[in-house]
Amino acid sequence: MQIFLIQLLNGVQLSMLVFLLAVGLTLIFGLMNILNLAHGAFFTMGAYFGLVVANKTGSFWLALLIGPLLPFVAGMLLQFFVLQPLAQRGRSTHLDLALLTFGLLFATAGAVEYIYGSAFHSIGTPDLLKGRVALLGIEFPLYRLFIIAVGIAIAAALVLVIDRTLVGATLRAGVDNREMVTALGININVLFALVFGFGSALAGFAGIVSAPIMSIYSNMGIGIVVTTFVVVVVGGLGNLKGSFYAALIVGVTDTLAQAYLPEAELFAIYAMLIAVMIFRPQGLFGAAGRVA
Amino acid sequence: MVVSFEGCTRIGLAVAIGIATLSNVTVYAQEKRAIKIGLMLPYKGVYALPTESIDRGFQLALEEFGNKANGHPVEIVRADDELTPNVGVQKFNKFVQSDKVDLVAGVVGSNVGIAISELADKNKMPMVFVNAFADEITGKFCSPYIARTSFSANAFEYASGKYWASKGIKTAVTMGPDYSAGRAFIGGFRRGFEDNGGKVIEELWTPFQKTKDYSAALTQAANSGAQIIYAFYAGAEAIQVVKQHADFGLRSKIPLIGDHWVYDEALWPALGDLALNAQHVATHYPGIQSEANEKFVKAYAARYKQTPDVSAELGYDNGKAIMLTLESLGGQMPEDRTKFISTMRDLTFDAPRGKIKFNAQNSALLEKVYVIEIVKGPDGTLQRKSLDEFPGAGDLPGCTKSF
Amino acid sequence: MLKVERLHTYYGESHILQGVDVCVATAQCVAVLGRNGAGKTTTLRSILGLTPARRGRVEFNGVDITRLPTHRIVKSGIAFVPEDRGIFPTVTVEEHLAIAYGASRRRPGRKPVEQVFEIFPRLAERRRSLGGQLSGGEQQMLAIGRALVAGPDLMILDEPSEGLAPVIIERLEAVLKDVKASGTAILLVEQNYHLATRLADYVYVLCQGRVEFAGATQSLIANGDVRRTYLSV
Repeated sequence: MQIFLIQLLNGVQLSMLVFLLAVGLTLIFGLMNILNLAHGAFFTMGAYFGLVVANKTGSFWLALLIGPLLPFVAGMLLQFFVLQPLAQRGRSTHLDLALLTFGLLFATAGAVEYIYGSAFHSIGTPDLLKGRVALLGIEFPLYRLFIIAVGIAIAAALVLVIDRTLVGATLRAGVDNREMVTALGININVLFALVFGFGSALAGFAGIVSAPIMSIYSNMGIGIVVTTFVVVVVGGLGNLKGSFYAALIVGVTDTLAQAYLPEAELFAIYAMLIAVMIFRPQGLFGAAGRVA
Repeated sequence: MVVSFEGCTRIGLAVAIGIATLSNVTVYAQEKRAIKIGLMLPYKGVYALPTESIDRGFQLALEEFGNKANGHPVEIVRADDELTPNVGVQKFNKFVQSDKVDLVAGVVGSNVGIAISELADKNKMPMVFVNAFADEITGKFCSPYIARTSFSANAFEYASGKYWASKGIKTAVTMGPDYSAGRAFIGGFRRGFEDNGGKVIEELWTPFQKTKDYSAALTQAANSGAQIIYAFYAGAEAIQVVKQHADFGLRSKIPLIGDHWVYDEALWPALGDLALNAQHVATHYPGIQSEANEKFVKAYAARYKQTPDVSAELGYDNGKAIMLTLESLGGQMPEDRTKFISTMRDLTFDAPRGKIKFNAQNSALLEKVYVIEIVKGPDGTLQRKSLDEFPGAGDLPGCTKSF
Repeated sequence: MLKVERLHTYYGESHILQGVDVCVATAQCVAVLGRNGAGKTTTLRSILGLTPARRGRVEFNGVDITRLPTHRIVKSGIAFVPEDRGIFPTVTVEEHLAIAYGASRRRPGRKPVEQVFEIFPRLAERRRSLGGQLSGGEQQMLAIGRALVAGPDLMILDEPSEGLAPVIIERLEAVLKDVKASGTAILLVEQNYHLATRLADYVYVLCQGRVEFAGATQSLIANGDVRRTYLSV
């Protein structure tokens, strides 16, 4: 039983990482209807930029703070100067965007490999979080508990912003009725660019947070794209709380499968995706179009 | 103008000589026709780093022969199989049909290897595997067109299992990626281990190329009560397993023993201190004291400015076996291509890892396996130290064809 | 203040507006009437840049706004109350008004949220309700209140009385009369002939994308032929 609880904890920790990735993507999709397959590229970008900062300053915390800035700017620029103009010219069906962003995903991996080679890199665990906590007979790494805390904190902060602030209200309005928001005098393009940048920054943040337990390498963004999409679809596109719960489901399922039924691990996740798409395509949580 | 008889004769002679010379020239050109080798490796993806080493070792072997076999230039055509069987099949077909290679070399993944072995047999195209350790490749899927210059999973891992059981390890938990090579290696270990008094308490499998977080498997392993975790992982997966194993404080509680891929040199920068004092089994390490190995290490270091790792050695053996075979065939691929493979089968040569000989199923045998500990050398850098060695085991039966 | 000249708008290859001219003077109320499909909504959407015109010109307060993006057109002093009211289901009443208030930072005449609640006490009672929880009439009040927040020079409304009970329509009429009295111009598309003629100073009648009648309200009331041909009243 104790081991089961530890495995649950492992699952929650994985969920938090997946959530950080999924939430940016779900906001982007919910608000702008953009199928951003390049989301993984921002994960990679953030990790590598964080690596640069960590190597230069020797500080994990600075890397965590500054690292996401690169994907933030890159995301904003991509949305404002590439995706938005394409949308306005009527060249942004889901297929167009999927192809374009998918191409970007691989282009980033290629560029990163060109600059850094195919070697593996790492950011060291910060000294503050190096220890372990004795938990139910297992020594659980402090850093993984940190990841859980960070995930929950960010989820809470996002809910607060979306539910309680004016910016959040404007975002909800944009998801509800994009046209009306422009008819209120708000430049929706700027709003979109900011949200895209922010979602990308979250992906980059996830890349840096995961670096001490995983490794940094050029293809890292490609592997996580599928899991992230499963979470986004299961949680409901554009639904923030939904993506949190869906991330929990996916992370815990994945982890428990790895522990108890490894042959089913892959199948379990995809089976869930297919079931949701057939029986409840708006996601398991909330009605279609809701941000929170 | 009247041409005299003598003039005709001279002209005729000149023309005859001209034709003879020309045809000699063409014959001469035909004699030195290039040999094309299709080299198929997973250049991108989780095994990108080991692949780079294999390619380098392979090139080094060819360069030793001046990139020629009996004066015939040898060319390499490369393809990326992306570690995916259907891509491997596509690329193999391209080698056969459009590139028109004389033989195919390489292939790391056993999953790709199994898919290709049938194709090689059907297309009568010699396939010389550099890795592809799954036992079935020279077992169930054996063919007069297939050879493997590395070794079978059973040869390596059965011997390893036997060794650790004999060293007082009574219980183990295995961890590995769930695909053909993973199953083959861990299976080999389990047989050797249990045949010699050990017990595998639990087998833990993780989805190949899809897993990044091994905490669940590691937690199960820690809880199992076994003495060691015996693992087979490579590339990015190996780094993650070793790191996360240390994260959970398991280094002192349940050591992670594996093979040379788990603790590959290429991963040492990312592993940092974690590589120190790790123990593993290896088919090769740079410190082997033999003429063949010292020559190899020196040449590799001069060419690539680094010490060769196991993958480089495997690539080297692959290239060398091919070149030696070509040379003994006069630098040409015979009409009956099974002759190429059977000639290779008869080779015996000193490779950096030891003597290489082939069994009746065209599978190279392992003369020795080394037990390695990673220590800090006198200059402060990490180095390998040999603790022990044992002979490799034989292959599993399964080949029903005779050739 | 609003001059629409020879507007041609297409939906794909469908030529919806075929040279529409409309004018709205300061503090004037202008109504656009016509049957379904006459192009009334399209005219409004073209003015606002939501369905941009292919040819023609729209001038507002002396500035050519024909090709400007919608948010810039709105910021120059036009507020829009669309046919479906444009209420956000997941946004509260309070937030609706606050968003509009924040978006009209540069408008001298913008009204604080509390002032709008005084005009619509019913909305004040429901200030924390979500847009999706309001009745049709409440949504219409909110849409108008939201438009008032921006202190616009011109308010454009598309069929505000649609789907409302007579009692609410009375309230609506009173509100719009106050709006006009306060100096804001109104451009109104309405199916409700009587409401339109009570409110408007000037009237346009559209049929199949063309202006078939333009004149003071009185002259429309007197012109039985036009009324019968294009409006069935």
